[in-house]
Amino acid sequence: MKNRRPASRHLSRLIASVAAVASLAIAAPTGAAAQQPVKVGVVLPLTSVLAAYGKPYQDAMQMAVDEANKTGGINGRQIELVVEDSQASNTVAINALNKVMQSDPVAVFGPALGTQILALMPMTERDKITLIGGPSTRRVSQQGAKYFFRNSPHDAISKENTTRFLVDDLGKKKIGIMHVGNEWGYSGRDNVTEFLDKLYKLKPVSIASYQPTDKDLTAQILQMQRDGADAIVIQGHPVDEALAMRQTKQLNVNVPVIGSGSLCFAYLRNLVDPADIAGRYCEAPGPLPSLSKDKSVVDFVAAYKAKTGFAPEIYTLQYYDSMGMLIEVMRKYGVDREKIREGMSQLSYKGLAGTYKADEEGNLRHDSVIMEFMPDRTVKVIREKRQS
Amino acid sequence: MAQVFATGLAMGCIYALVGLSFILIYNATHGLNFAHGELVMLSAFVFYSAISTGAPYWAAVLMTFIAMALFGAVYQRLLFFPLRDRPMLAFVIATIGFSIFARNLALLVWGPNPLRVPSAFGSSSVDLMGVVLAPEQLFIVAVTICVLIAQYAVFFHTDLGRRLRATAQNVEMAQLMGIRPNRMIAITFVVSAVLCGIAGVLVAPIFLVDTDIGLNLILKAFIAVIIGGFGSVPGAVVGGIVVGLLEILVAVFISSVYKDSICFALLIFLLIAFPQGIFGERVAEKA
Amino acid sequence: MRRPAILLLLFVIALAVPLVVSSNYYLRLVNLALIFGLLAVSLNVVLGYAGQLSLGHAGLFGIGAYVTALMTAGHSGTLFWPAFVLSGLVTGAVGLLIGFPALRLKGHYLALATLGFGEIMRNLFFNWREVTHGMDGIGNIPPPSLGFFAFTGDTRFYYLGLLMLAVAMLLVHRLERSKYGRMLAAIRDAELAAGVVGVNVPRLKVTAFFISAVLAGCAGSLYAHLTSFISPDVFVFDVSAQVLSMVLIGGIGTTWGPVLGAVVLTFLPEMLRVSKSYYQLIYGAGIAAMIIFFPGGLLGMARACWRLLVAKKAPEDVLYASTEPSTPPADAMSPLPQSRTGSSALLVAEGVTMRFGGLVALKDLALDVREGEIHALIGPNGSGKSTFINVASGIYTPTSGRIAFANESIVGRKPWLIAGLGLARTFQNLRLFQSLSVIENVLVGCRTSDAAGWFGVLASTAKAKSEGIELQRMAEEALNFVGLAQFRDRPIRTLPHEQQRIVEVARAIAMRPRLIMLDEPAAGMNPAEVDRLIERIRRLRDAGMTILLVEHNMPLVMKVADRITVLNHGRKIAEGDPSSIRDNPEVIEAYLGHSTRKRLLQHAAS
Repeated sequence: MKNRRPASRHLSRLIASVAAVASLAIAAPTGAAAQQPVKVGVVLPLTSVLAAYGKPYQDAMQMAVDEANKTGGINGRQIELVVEDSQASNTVAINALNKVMQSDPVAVFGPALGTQILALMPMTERDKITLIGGPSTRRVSQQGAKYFFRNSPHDAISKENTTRFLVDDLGKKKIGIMHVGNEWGYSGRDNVTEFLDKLYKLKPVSIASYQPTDKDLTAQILQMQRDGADAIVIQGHPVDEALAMRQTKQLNVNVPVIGSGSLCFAYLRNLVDPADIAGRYCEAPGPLPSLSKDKSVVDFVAAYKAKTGFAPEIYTLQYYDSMGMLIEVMRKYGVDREKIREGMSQLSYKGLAGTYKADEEGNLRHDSVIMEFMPDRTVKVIREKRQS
Repeated sequence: MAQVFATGLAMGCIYALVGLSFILIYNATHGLNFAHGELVMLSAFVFYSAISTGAPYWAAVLMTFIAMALFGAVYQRLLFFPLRDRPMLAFVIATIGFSIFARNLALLVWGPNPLRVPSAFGSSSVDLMGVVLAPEQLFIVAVTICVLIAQYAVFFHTDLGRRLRATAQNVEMAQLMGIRPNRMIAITFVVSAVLCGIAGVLVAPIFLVDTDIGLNLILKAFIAVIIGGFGSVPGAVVGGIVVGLLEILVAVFISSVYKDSICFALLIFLLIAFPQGIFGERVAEKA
Repeated sequence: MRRPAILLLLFVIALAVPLVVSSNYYLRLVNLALIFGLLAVSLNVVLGYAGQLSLGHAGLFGIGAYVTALMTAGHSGTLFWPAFVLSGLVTGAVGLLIGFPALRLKGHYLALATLGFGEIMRNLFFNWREVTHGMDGIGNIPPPSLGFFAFTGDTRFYYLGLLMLAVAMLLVHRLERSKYGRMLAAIRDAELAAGVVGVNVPRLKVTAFFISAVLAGCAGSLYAHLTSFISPDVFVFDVSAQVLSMVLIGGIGTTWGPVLGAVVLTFLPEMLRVSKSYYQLIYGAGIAAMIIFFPGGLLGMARACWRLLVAKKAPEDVLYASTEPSTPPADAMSPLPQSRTGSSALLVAEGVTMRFGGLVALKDLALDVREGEIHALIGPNGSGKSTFINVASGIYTPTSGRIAFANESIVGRKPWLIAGLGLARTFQNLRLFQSLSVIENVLVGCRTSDAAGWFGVLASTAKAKSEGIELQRMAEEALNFVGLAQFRDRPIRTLPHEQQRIVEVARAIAMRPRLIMLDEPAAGMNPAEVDRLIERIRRLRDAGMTILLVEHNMPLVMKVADRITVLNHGRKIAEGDPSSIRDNPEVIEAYLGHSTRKRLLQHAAS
């Protein structure tokens, strides 16, 4: 009782100062500058367990913006990113977008998460503002949205490539699918199943799902073995795909295992022991940026590493590229929201990861590659599907 | 089949360790520590940092334990002590607040990417009469058994253990006997935090470390302590192993999608059918 | 008189909010605060009023949201109204489902069971894709519409949300102030005592879960229509925990606290966004700090500040016992309404045996309490006296034997049914409803013959109002009768021990019982207090009540008892009037012992 009083006084002072800071922040946007910067909104998960799908993209986009600002910005106007955190929650994502919209941006970048994009889309459509994001769920671009552009290939593109690789190149007919029980996993499962049927009249011999929190996939792997799968497709998140690699190795599963782009991420972030991953495959929208001999990519990888301490993965590159594309659109078409939409849907942009050209659904990317992890810790591209 | 049992047993031992350390705090304070999973998470991160310094395995483990012991003491002082005379719910909410804090602290300190702690055993496996076992799984089971023996020895064969148990049973009576309950509670928090440290060190190599690893562990530990009966130490251990086996058996034979639902449905059923748990305390209000 | 003025002011401010707050961002936060306010009010019904902890409210919230989303997605906004009602009802039905297990579970068990429920719902929302579309979510949920007027945009939605919240708060406020509110408080404070003063505990608990679930479902429906897109990640444990924090930080068990908590916890993280990557860190620490530093919640703190700054009134002092004997008014409580039965034995027990595991607490006990007498039950500690009262009041069911009250068997009947027959009791260790005032404690025991139902109470019908007045009158009569009228509005805990015991008696006689069982009423009393107690017991009998008295205080027993039954080790060893018991050698040797016998004789002589 005795020591509660000073503590609460201290706390009330703290609250007062927080309130003061907060009120300053509310008042701040009204202050006008002579040459106003062009504002681009960014809504990404920066905290919570999904932070790994936000922070790297934010860094990459900031790099693109810094480079553009050094070379004159948009006709002399500087570009400014207005960044807000969406956490792992749609409610928060909507709040974050509302907050971003307060500073009247000309376009908005959203997360690479289908469900958050679906939550944000009604608002960006209403406000007629371009939303760029990288979810892979096909459905997202089939909502009839006019202002949404996808900076990463969707699952129908990547899974067609995966399916053809397994059946045509490896000659496997008994495909097993392991996937995480959320929209990302289901989308992978449905697309592989669809292409098996459409292209080869085959059915997966085994399908097993697991929860995003599961750390032990023994049950699922044993099911694959029991059902006689001669190749396994995994669609999950970096952590569980890394664990799947390790556990298939420990359980002596010797059939080909192919992971999603998450596995590249796991490899780059050193989440898998190279010994566990040797001989496994992964599918991604493009080769690992660090494999590239292209000078501009090499420079980007070096600059990104210097800034963050990590090698970038392909999705990071795509956010960097799509920011570059937006900047070019703004330079060529102007910063009007409608002009930006028009530019995004017309321009063909050559980025570091490849070509960006919108189809009628707003999908900018159409590439897919299969890579093999070699015993000497290197990665080899063994199948490539590039936009013509 | 043996494969499934071995894996389930290893996971069950982890749940048992977490459940056991959760129950220690509950017994001493009647508080539900909802940040318990975050203690495991923090210790896994600390262990990662310790290993990253290049220290040998045992030294890194020791560093983790010391850090967790200190942390347990501070946690007790800052979070539990001011709330000791308030309703149980206040402590629950405070620990929920702390778990948000801890997850974001880890995010700031260790970054958003999951981290890998190299296993002491590599990814080799042991073939025992056709059953492929990961050495970590055997290690986990062995460590859990050692912890249980040590815990039993301390609680039932030392003076300190008797004081701790006395405080857990009746604070006022213990006070009359010359035991300083606040000190005993502080020791309990320290012991519990170190147990979380053990769990963290064990799971770090096999789970990969991210800010979410605590959540699933604590949910399963809840089921474990309910099955075992609240307040029962052997119950928490048996409950943990039952949950570990149950979830993998359900995943193999029924549904891996609704595995968690089935576990929780079982929990609710058990609560209603046997409110005292298998080993449990009486819950009825005395007339 | 200040209260209506404050309410009016709040109302005007609330109406003006969209005029002042023009940005979509802040208006959306305001709307979220309204919806979470409704959800917090819902949780407060079970947690604050009924004292039942729920960690699964996000599940209920989600059911409401999914019901409305499935009904209206892609359709007209006019469907909102039936969908809103249906969301409430479906969620209410689920609330009943979790209410029933809650009857058997308490405290942390209930907490974990409801947490399990929340996890199961989350799992279903995520994985039952045929219905919920999993993580794809459900979009195209239209804004509510009246046909000619649609609540599009946050400004229009605000008024709808405000209306819904205001209606919910009004209803919940009426509930809190009604007899049902007092009964819920009684269950929360002392469940056993609530049962024996006639509160149908399970029915009320389940009803509380039902009401809470209906409100949570309505909140879910509003949420779906506000955001127009829902997906499972909104209905997870974090949200249950957040709502729980809102209730606790705002002020548990109050009308305004949960809403205040919802506003603070909705805006706090958004305000903290200025601290960029640290904001969640500060938010988490802030929740813990608020719990630690504001024990009564923000509302409690605000009230304390108000008292300190404006009213300058010190917190109420502890009341000291008056040394004067309380002097009840001359117009004592009118005789009881029930007519006397023909037979003289009111409570008859035959062959009652009560075993707890291996322990036999009562062995083949026969006992009859005659109408109009003061019957004392005595015996050494552990002889089974209190067990008998617990058996007779329905708290325990005897292992074997028959007990009849007014010729009706009461074995196996629930305490509140037995209480309804006219059998009341008090407790050896006080079981008062600590959060209620003196008169509210007594009011829990009061019943009218023509009671208003839930609808009447919530709609505040004329019948419910007149019932309220009638109950008040009955409670005041009971308080006058025991001489505590001057303390009627005191919080129970500020009364001295003697008065608290008397409040228990008042609570029991407010039920107008035919038989009242007093379990060691003199425990902890000094001789002067005992003398006053003797006076009161006699007055109870004079008012027409039959009394079964369990007591250790021999002088008291010898003075007031008409008949005495002596128990030892669960068996009856003697029965008779005081003088025969006093002289019964078996009693004296087996129970009273030599020295007590001497004292007893002295008392008899004086």
